[in-house]
Order: sequence, then structure tokens, then C-alpha cells
Amino acid sequence: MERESEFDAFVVRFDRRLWQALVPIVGVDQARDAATDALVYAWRHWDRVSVMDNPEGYVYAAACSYARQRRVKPQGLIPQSASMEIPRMDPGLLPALAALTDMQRSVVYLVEGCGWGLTETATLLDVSLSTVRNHLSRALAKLRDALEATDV
Amino acid sequence: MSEHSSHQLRDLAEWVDEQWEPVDPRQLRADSEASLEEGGGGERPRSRALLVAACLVVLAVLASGAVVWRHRDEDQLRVVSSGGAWDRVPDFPLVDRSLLLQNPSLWTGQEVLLVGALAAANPTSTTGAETTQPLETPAYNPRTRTWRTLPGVPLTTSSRLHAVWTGTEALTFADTAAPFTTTTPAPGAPRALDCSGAPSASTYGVAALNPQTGTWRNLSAPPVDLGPITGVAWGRGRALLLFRTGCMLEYNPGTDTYEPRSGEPDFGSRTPNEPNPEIDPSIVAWPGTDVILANRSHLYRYVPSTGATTTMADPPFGEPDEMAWTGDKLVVVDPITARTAAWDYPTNTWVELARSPLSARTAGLTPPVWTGSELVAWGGTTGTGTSASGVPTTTAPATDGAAYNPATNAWTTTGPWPGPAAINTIPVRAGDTLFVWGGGNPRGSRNGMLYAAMWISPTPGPPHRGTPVSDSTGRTIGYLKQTPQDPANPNPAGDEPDPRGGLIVVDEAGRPVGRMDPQFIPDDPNASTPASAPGTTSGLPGRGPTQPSGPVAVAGHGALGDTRVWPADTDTVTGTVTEAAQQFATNVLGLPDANITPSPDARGPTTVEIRQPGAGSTTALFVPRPGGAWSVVQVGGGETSYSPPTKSLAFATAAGADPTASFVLTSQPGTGTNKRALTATELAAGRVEVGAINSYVLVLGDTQGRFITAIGGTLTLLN
Repeated sequence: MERESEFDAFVVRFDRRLWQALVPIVGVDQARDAATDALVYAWRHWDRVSVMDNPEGYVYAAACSYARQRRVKPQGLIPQSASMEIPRMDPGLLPALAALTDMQRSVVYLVEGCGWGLTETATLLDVSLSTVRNHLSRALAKLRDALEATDV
Repeated sequence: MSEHSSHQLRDLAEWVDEQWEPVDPRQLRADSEASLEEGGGGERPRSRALLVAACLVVLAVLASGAVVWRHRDEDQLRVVSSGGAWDRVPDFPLVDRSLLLQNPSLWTGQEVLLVGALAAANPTSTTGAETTQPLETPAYNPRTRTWRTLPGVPLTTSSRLHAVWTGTEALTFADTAAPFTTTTPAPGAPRALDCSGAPSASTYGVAALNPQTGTWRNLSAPPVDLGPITGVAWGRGRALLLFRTGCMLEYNPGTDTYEPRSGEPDFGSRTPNEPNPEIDPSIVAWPGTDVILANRSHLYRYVPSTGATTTMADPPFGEPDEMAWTGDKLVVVDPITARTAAWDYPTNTWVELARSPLSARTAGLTPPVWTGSELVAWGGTTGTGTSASGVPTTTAPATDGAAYNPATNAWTTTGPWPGPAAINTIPVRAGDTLFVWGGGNPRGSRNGMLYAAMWISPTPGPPHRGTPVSDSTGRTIGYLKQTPQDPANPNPAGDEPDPRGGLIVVDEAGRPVGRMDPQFIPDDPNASTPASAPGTTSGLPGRGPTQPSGPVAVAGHGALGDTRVWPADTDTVTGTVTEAAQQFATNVLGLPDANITPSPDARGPTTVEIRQPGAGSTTALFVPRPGGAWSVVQVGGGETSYSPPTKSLAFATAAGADPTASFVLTSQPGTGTNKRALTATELAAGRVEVGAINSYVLVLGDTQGRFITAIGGTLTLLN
């Protein structure tokens, strides 16, 4: 029971953040499946995963790997076929986000959009704090340039 | 990036989060096992193929009353978790040690400290008595899931311990004061409280543990004997000590002195035939400038700065140690009758709430704990027998707990204690979780074990509504949300208060719990004010009588980008954005020789880099104002938070920062701007007491006087 309890607690506290982190990589429509696959994988290997220094970072990497194996091309952060009512936004925002590298998009989305701390972001993405700062700075600059161009 | 776009990113993330659907861990485990059974031993799970097995699990869960719903694309059934979960903590072996369960435990933000909880074992004792001298302090880090052992308590007078976390140290008070005795006053007679006390040579001991260094430092003890200590609270950089006599002392660890106050709390003699002459109060809340005290019958509000005491509405039941402060309400849980009631601070009224599902206790609960989203009741003893009056009599440690959600006025059980039977279990808040610890054999053993588990509160149902806002402990207190524009006045002019709405703070259910002052919202980022156009403005519109109040603060990362910090009300700013930035660097940051580098296109909001040659740099975001002037809305990229109960700013300190070159500039409502140097203690702690402020700039410099960085923002407290 102890093993199950540990895993359940891990899922309760991490599932939402894992979902948020996957959205800029695989898009809204595929984030749930990628997260579920990775969590199921984590349970199968829980004895090994639970003692890792950064189990959340490992599961996140596994989720990204599963998403790539699905061979389903991501349709962007929000799929064009989404039938839900999407927020009113600058028409250049999504293309500008799509033009960023995966790391830049992840960092700017998590920090600026979701309000994550830099350290929290660095831990999940398994990169250094300065790397996060650099990607954030470059992503912000690119977004600014792209959006100001569409403002004209 | 413009704030316009930043807002859009937040809106986008908010919308995306609304699409999030929680997954039930039991379902995941079932998926995994079913996959293996059907030969799916490959590394990649195939959730779609598991529908049949999943349905079986879902049916089982349906039978237990859980909520089931269908996934959006209807390819898979999922079960919504209806509660939190226990996270069993690794056991801590007790080698030649016993547990002192009565000693305090506290949360440092990173570790749970069980202050002096380990004493020498005495397994041969026939009475079960063991030495109470604390030898070690176990510390548990939930992030690394590891225990470590810190020194005990270097006080010989440590029969009773009280501890508070100051931000850097576990400030610990010990006393061996004799039980309070007095003559019963005549019915109705006014009670004269004498807090001058007798000189105290060895009644008390005080020391502080720094977990970073693993060292204790001895501090000055209270100079007079005021009886046993019944409670210690921490706020505004002071420890407030409450004694069973009803006397109080304020201790300043920065100066290691006990400071005089304006008057003692007046507990009066409210009931003519009150049988117990003891005052025996407890500190049950410190919501701001006043302290809420309770004894067995009454509730009081005491203002330390004036010495004034106000008698509040009496609790309908319960004792002080059955109360918990949630930030705006005082909740009391009766462990025997399961009744629950809440006291509303602003209206001074008690309202009865839903009854708890706890098993009836024969002895009281340990104090309930507020985790930020739930009130968790835990501990105490229960039994199977019943006395003539209907009270259970055969006692045993209670292993059930329950959590109360104020948003739904409903209780859920936490499930049984996940570890082996413990003699007793002690709860302590650890961030957003509940840490419960106890011992399998605390009476002295060579092979005992310290057991612990953490209750992880369930993820709130509705998604958040914007950027999270945290208090000084890192706890999320709400989410920023943009209020709608007022179509009747879309383009305010001059010093007219901006009616276009502003940032509000909402709770998980989307209910407003506070707001940002609309005046601090930047102007239209698409304004066509050219960067080179000189202009003059009289500064910001007056901030009016806005006075911080209430229990919630706007703070931290994500909030600063929408607030204006400079110029102050009386400043006049002229010139281009570069010239304005130069004024800011000179007048606020103290960098007259700084190099200013604006971003290339300064038509809209412009980020300016301010670099001092040979020293550090920071950035400031300027937005255009009507008339061609500029205002600063954000300084630096550091993270800060603002704690209203203590009126303090918590900030990420910088390596090498020195008090000779570091200061804080604050703007108070109605009193203008104040500048003062940071102390070494404040720099080390990353926390500075600022009082009620509208805005601030923190400047950090090194021992050579060189500029390192600056952080700033505007804060408005919420109703």
C-alpha cells in the first residue's frame, strides 16, 4: 500500500503541472494522452523513478518522448480544428509562439503564461537557471518583434 | 515584450488550463496492470486498448460513489479524484533514542523541523519516564524525501518548548516556570494584572537554530518571571510571547531585546462566578495589526501598539487548541460532538458549519491545521466504550482525519493513517500540505521508529484564473485577473483615475478576494507617443485614500508587470525615454553614470537596460504617458512577495550584497517616500519590514558600493 500511496500522491501533485508543461510541446489536444502515457510508465517503473533526484523532470522527458513516438504531427498549441471557444487574442500570437524553438516556447509559456518560477521551470526542464533566463529573454524578444510587426 | 502581449499569454494559458482534466492515479495503475495482463509488456502504454479494463475499474469506483465523466473525445473513461492523498514519508530509525512528542514542530519553507524531538532512550525505566533533554532535531525535506539530524536544544531549562520560524531561524523558548497560582478574585471584582513580575534568573531559556549552518545561538531570556509560556507568535520581525498569567512580551531577535508595549491585554472578570482564576489565554490568530486571543470561554482582540483589548463574540464551543485561523476566519472543531463553527473577523459573528465526519474523540484533537485550501483535523484519541453520559471511554490513538473545504462547506475524510500504529500523531502545516508525525514506541527504545506522512490536498476543481499570487511563504493566495474595460470612459485623460478596470485577485472559484488599484494599469501599449517627443507631466495621479487593509496581498512575480512604481506623486518627469531612465537611475538607483540602452523601437512600452560600468545592471520597463512622458512599471526581474500580516517584503537576495550599499525605497499612502538602508539580517534573510506601502524599490549593492540589481513594484492590499 505504501508504494501505491506514494505514487498516488505523486500524481495528485504533479499531473496538472505535467499537463501545463506538455502543452507548448505537443499542443492542447495531445497533452493529456502524453501525460497519461508517461504516468503509466512511471508507475511501472516506480521503484526506480521514485528514488530519482528529479522524478518529475524524468517523467516530463518520458512524456515528450511518447509524444514523438505517437507520430502524430502536433497541430500547434491550439489545434485549428478546436471546436471550443478560444480566447480572443492577437492573431499573431500563436504563429509567433509556433516560430519559437521548443525550449523557448516552453519557457515563455510556463513563466509568462502560467506564472511558474524560473527555478521551478529549470527543474522540470532539467536545465540550468541561466539557460531558462536565456531562453526566456530570447523568446520575449522574438515575440515582441513578431507582434509589433503584426500591429502595423 | 509588451504588456499587451504578456496579458495575452496569460489569457491563453488560462484558457488552456480550462481544458485540463485531472487523471485518477488508481485508473493509471489499473491501466498499467491491464496492459501487462494482455501482453502489453512493451514500454509504451496503450491507453486506448485498455478501455475494457478501465471500464471495470470505473464500475468499481462508481459503486464507491466517485464521480465519473467522459473524456472530451470519448475514447476513454476517466475517474475524477474526489480527494487528496497520503504520501508516506520514509521512516526515521530511533537508535537509542526516544521521541519527545510534546516538543514543537515547524515548517521552514524547505524542511519540517521537529525541534529537539529526540531524547536519550531509557528502555529499562519501569515508569516509562525518560530524560526530556532534547539531544537532536530531526529535519525532513519533502523535496528530496530525506531526513537529516540537526543538534538538539542547548538549553537546560527545556522542560517546555515553544518555537516559531523567523524566516531564517527556529526561535525557541523554553520555560520551567511554576504553575500559575493565585487567589480566586471576588465575584465580579476587577482583576489587577501585574506584569512587572519577579526577577527571573533561570526560569526561561531562549536559543535559535539556523538549519543552514546547523548551529544554535543562545539569546537573552525574558528578564522577569511571568509564569508558563502558553504561546509564541511571529510577525513584523518580533516574537510575541503570551504567558498563562495573561502578560505579554515582545522580543526582537535583531537586537536581542524585549521591548516595552503600550499596555497589557485586559481579560477582565467578565463572569461574576467564573470558577477558574487562571487567565490561560492562547494566541489563535495574528491577522494584521491586532492579535486574536482566546481562552476557554472568550475571544479577545488585542492591539499591541495601543494596548487596547476588545472582547469579541464568545465561541459557541471548543477550546483554543481546537481552533485554526484560515486567513479571514477562525474555525473551531469540537472533537467530541463533531460540531464546527467559524468566526468571521470583520463582522464578529460565529456561524455553525457542517459537522465533521471524525470519529468521536475521548481526548481533544491536536490543533486543526489550515493548509491554504483545506482545514485538516487530525490527532487525539478515540475509543469503543461509552460512558454513562455517552462519551467514549476506551481510548486508543485516533487514526482517522478529515478535511473541511470552506468553498463547499463540506468535509471529506482523509482516510486512515498510512503508517504502522503510532502512539500519537502530531500535525504541522508544511506549505500547502499537512505533515503528520508520530512514533511507534516513543517511550524509549533501541529499535523504535519515527513515522510520518504528508497529506496532499486535492487539486482544486476549477482551473486557476490567471497568474498565481503568493504570500511570503510561497502559498498561493489567489490569481490575477484582468477586470473588464469600462466602455463608458475608454480613454481617461490627465490625472483622471483610470476606469479601464485593473487587476483583481480571485480565488479558485473565481470569486474576487482583492484587487490591484486600477490607477496602476499601464496606458494603452499601442499609444502613438513617439519616444523622442519631450513632454512634461505632473507625475502620477493621486493615489487617494487607498489604505491597505484586509488579509490578502497582491504580490510577487507576475504582478509587478502591471504596476507603476515611479515616479512618485510629486515627481516631474521630462524628456525622452532615455532621459527619463537617466533620471530614474540617478534619483532612485543612485547611478548617475549609468549607461541607458532602450530597446530599438520605443514607440510603445519600452524595456530599458540600466548598466553601471564595472558593476551590475538591471532593467526597467517604461510605458508612455499622455503628454509624451514616461513611467516605470517594473524594475528588474527578481521575485518578491508581500505579507500583509507582517507588512514585510520577501525578496531573492543576491550573493555579495552588503548593507552599506543596499537600501529600500518605499512609498506610503499619504506620507510620501521613505528611504532606509537594509540591515545585514534583512539581507541575509531576504526579508525587510516595510509597513503598509504602496510601492517600493529594493536596491542591492556590494561591499565596494557597486550596484548589483534593483527590484521594484507597486502593491495594493485587498479588501
